[in-house]
Amino acid sequence: MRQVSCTSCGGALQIENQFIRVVVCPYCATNYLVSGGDTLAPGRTGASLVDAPSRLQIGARGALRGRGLTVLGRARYRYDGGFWDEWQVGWDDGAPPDWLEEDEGYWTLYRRERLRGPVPPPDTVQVGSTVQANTHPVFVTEKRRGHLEGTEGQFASTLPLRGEFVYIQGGAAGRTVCLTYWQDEIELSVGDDLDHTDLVLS
Amino acid sequence: MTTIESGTPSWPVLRRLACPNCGATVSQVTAQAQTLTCGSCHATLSEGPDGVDIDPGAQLPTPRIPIQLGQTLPLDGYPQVVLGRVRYQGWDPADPSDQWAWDEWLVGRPDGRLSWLTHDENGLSLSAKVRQWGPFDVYRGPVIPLGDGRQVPVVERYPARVLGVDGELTSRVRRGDELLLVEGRLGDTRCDVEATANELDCSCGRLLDDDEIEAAFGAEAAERLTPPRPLSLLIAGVVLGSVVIALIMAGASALYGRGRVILAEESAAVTVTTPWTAELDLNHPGRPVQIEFTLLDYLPKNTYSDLDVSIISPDGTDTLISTPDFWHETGIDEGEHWDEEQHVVRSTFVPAQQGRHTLLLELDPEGALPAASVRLQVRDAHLWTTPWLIFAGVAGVIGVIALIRGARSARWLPEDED
Repeated sequence: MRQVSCTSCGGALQIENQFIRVVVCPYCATNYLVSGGDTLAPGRTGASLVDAPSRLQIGARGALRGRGLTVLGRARYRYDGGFWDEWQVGWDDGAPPDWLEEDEGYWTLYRRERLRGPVPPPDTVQVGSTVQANTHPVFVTEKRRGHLEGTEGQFASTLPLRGEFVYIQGGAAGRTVCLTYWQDEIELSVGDDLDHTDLVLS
Repeated sequence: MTTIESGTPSWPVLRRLACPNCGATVSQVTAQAQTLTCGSCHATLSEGPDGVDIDPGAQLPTPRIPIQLGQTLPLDGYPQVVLGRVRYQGWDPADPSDQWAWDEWLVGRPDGRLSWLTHDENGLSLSAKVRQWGPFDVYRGPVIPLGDGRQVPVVERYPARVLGVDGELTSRVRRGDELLLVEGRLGDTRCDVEATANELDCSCGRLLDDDEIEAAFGAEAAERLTPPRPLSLLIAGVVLGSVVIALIMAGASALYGRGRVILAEESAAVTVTTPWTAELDLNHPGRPVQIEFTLLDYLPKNTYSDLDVSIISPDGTDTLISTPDFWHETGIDEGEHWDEEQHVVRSTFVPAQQGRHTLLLELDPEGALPAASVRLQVRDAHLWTTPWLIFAGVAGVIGVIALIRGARSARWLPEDED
């Protein structure tokens, strides 16, 4: 854990582990890229999420199937049908952070997976079709355009604060797969559905 | 009763907002709420791409089923809070004038899991979102494949629109939203797919049984929400159909089933010592033969006289078939003299053999008359009326009970609410 100060407002910031690439000042919402040095490189200022109610909160601790975790960050995405939150969780066992998403009270744990082959352009994908992403034949149940509305906490990857993206989501052999088409990057996330007893918050 | 405005121990109020339409306080209890309605002006506030959209909204009709926002219901083994309501209207694409409506309530468990309580013509069902399912062609797929391997046959596809919303929802739902609904049924399991251009949602659940409905809403609701029982209606239909047939048979028997007269004896001299006999040619074995005896002599007061009636079959078997009883009784009842007698008696027997039979009549020696004149008439191929009437009566009672159990004529249907 590393202590730094917000260069914009002077607030104290704690960087939880070596995987963190972005930290958001909880006081002024300034985003910082984390480098190896003692200083922070200020980025853009995003929207603050401190007023958005949630069941989780930054710093909350718990266990997922007995594996200790800490909630590090939250990213809220907005689309034409509303919004959703993704929570960055760090593991007590030192593994790289993952993403936790809640949908109607049911949790899914997402891991980023390196994309190893081509995927169809988003404008050719229709809801109800099946697309191939790595080894996953994804039955597409959702396709939307969205943007990042705001962030809080800290993250193991950089999140573009501006611009839109297209995402397609669906099921593949018992797992939930999400392809996100950013302006200059395509991300593949593979999720495991969690039982409601799997996640215990302390 | 708890209301959304005050929250519940398991669903405390997370945020209170001022309604942009009327200024009244609107409470939010789910973290992921994306649609809220104002309890004062019924405006719908929904999360849009650029913030909150406001729809003036309209008050939904009061549901006849006793469900209210904020109410805690014991469902599926958990106390579940009613958070929101969506009222839909579906229509037959081949005949858009054929429309129907139904309600769905969003209910939440203490651990945050959400389910949908649906009241439609099938009764009440509880379902939750299915995360793993498909692939599925919403326009032509014959079964909905679920992640656990089950294949739920599709029973109906139709377009629908949102008539209105109330309370709090975790998705953006607005009046006028349109979707395609695909309904699947597998026993008591029901799976629905809601399809829009951007999303396919699958939810699965089951019909609530009488005990669950009674526990949640009381006995009256259990009685009035239970769906028709197809088996009971089928039984009622079959039984009541047989009643009609039995009544027709009874009427036909009465009109045309008296049979053919094969012997008419105006005055048979019957004694206690020598049998009176007559030959009968019976050509319909298995069909009843009816004999009517009329005592022509006077029977003294307060006496009786029995006939012993026997039949000898073609193979020589002698069978006593009846003992018609003639009587004459008198007395005084409450100061009034009464005098009653029975001098006409009918007997029926079913011959087992075909051919010439011998009928024998004798007077019982213990009776008052040592000899008597008896008129008799014998009809064969007789049809019984009484058994048909008895059958019709018993079957009618069974049929009506089955009909009541099956039809539940006072059911609460969502269509009745308008």
